[in-house]
Amino acid sequence: MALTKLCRADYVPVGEMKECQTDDTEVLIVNLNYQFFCLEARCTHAGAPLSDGELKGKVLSCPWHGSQFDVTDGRVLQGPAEQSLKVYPAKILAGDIYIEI
Amino acid sequence: MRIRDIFYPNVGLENHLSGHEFKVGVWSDQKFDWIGENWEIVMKYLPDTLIGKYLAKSRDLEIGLEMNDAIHNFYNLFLRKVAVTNQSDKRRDVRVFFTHDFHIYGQDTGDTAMFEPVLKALVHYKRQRYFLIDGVTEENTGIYQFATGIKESFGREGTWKDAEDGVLEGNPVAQGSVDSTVSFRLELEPQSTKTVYYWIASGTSLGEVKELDSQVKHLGVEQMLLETANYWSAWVNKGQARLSVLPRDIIRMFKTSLLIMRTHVDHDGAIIASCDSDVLHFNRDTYGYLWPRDGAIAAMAFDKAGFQEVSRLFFQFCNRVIAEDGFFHHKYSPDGSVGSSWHALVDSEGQPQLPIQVDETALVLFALWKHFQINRDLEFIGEVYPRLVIKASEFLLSYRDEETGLPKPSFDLWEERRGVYTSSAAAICAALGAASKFAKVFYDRQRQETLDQAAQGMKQAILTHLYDQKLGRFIKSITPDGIRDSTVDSSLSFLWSCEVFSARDEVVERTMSAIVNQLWVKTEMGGVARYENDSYHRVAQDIPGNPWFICTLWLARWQIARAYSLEELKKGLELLSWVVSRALKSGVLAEQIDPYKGTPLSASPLIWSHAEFVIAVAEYLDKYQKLVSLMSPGD
Repeated sequence: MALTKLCRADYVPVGEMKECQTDDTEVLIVNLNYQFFCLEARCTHAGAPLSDGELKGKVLSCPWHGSQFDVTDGRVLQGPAEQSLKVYPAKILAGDIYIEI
Repeated sequence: MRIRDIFYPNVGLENHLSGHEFKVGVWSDQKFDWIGENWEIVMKYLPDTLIGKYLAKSRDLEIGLEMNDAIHNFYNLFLRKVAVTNQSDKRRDVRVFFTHDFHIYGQDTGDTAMFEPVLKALVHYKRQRYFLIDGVTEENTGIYQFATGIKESFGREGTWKDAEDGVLEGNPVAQGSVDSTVSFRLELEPQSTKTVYYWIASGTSLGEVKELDSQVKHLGVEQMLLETANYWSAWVNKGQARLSVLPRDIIRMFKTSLLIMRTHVDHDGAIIASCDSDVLHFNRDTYGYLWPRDGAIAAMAFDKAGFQEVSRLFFQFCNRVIAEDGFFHHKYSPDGSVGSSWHALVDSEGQPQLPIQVDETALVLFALWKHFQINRDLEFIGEVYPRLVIKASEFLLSYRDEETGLPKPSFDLWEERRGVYTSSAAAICAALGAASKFAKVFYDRQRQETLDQAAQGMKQAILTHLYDQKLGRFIKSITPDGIRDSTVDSSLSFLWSCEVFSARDEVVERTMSAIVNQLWVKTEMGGVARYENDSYHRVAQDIPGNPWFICTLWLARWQIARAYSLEELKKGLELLSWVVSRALKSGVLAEQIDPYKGTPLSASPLIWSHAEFVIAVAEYLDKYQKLVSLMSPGD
């Protein structure tokens, strides 16, 4: 596993999310009260950009068809999506967010 | 939710609705209503796509609709999914109606509308244009009822009137000035939802539209909408890795702008200014033309955002249509023919004049250089160099006043008056410089020297004749009679945006301060007006003019260009946020807004507005990275 830098932690305000791209991976960063969760950025149902979805607490709703996910573990809470979101272990080092890929 | 335009086979040409519209209506419990003012409606795009999402609710009918509309990314197909919800507590028979008020080739005569019994679909046609209308419910039942009929003549209003009792009479053919309506029937349980899928196939023959129809029936609208959504999502996210430093609403607006811009690019390269047909009601003409200026700015935006394949199409179009004498006409139809114009071939004295806006020629050349700076596609430039660079630059060289060194008079970028405009002179200066650099690339040494001297000479002439020492700023223009027009005009921004002067140059700073002081609209809405006492669509006398998006974005770009620190850069970001806050919910930017209500005025969307937004965001990102890289680790 290699550590990959995403962006500065302060780019993602509390209660918000942001999409970051590494060379070949799109990652969604969610800031839940300074706990950062990094997940795959596309809905597992039809590929919608989850950064444009709605975040209420730890529940993320897909902007295209309304699937709901738990951002802390990627679980599907409501379909049509059936597959969980991939979760990347995240670390904050010197104010920057890193994930293990 | 109403279809206002159907362009086929080119983007912007031909419009087969000619200002008319296709409506959607719902009947249930002996009540009927067309979706419109009695409904609560929300319209937006599904994020990162060109799929429309519309929510409509009628309290009276107790019906809710969720609609998704799209043009398939490969096929000439309009696709629509309508999820109909019975919001009452009883089981109901609900019928959904779609009307088709075609004016094929933009004319209201000689059309045929007919029922096709094998496909159980409707077809409208005239000569080489065929439109097939079909659909299916989620229970696999097709069109429930249909009607074709005469409209706009013999006292007939059209088949849409027939729909209002919930029943269509089934007339199988109509000829002349005709329309049609189809309905779909759903049996809905209380508080339940069922879906109707509907589509229109466009082609040049009956066989072609039948083939498309069978394609939809084979794949299904649901699948085709997903294909289309994923295509545009992949397209707009290509290489957008830098965006994460921006606020979320600006990122979304940036992507929406690119997508809306892309819908206005024809496969032959024309980038039309706007597909909005509402303006037809004002002057019997539309914005469905390529203005080389608007196109050049859109091309710069596509290049800055990484879509060089789109800008290249535009430059190829320009290379085909540029006049033999090396200039661009006022505007062009998407097929490359010269568009309608209000610029006369003679002046008020009856003397011949060239009816052009010379900045249009200059900006295409400048944009081509910016394209090459980013893409370094030498082989492509080699293809267009003889016409687009040499002919255009030779024309610009010839279009100078020997005495002053300024350009000869032409129409201004606002297309209103003729004179020697500072903005046009700046664009020409940039174009001559660009052509000189191209000549250097191709080792065309004598041409390079001539063009370089001309560019320097133009810059000096601008300073000598168009800078007013007493006012401490540039003036707008010199009229053909030699009168100096010192109106403060936001287009003076061309002086730095065309890179003639630095954004920090004192002469620019003073001029831009005048723009901020005189043209910022001091209402709750804010924004920058075009120029002092602008009367175009003006709604009040106590303001300089209505706020325009492009003018406000020039101010944003200037703040970005002159920023020496991240703190200074915030001023640009604030203006980008202003634009987002004044856009329609769908992300559409009009030409201008009402200074009090904020409602859109004139063409909407205006591609120039979206292009300036994309350019401003790209310039912000460039400047942000530059400033961050200059900061020491301890900062």
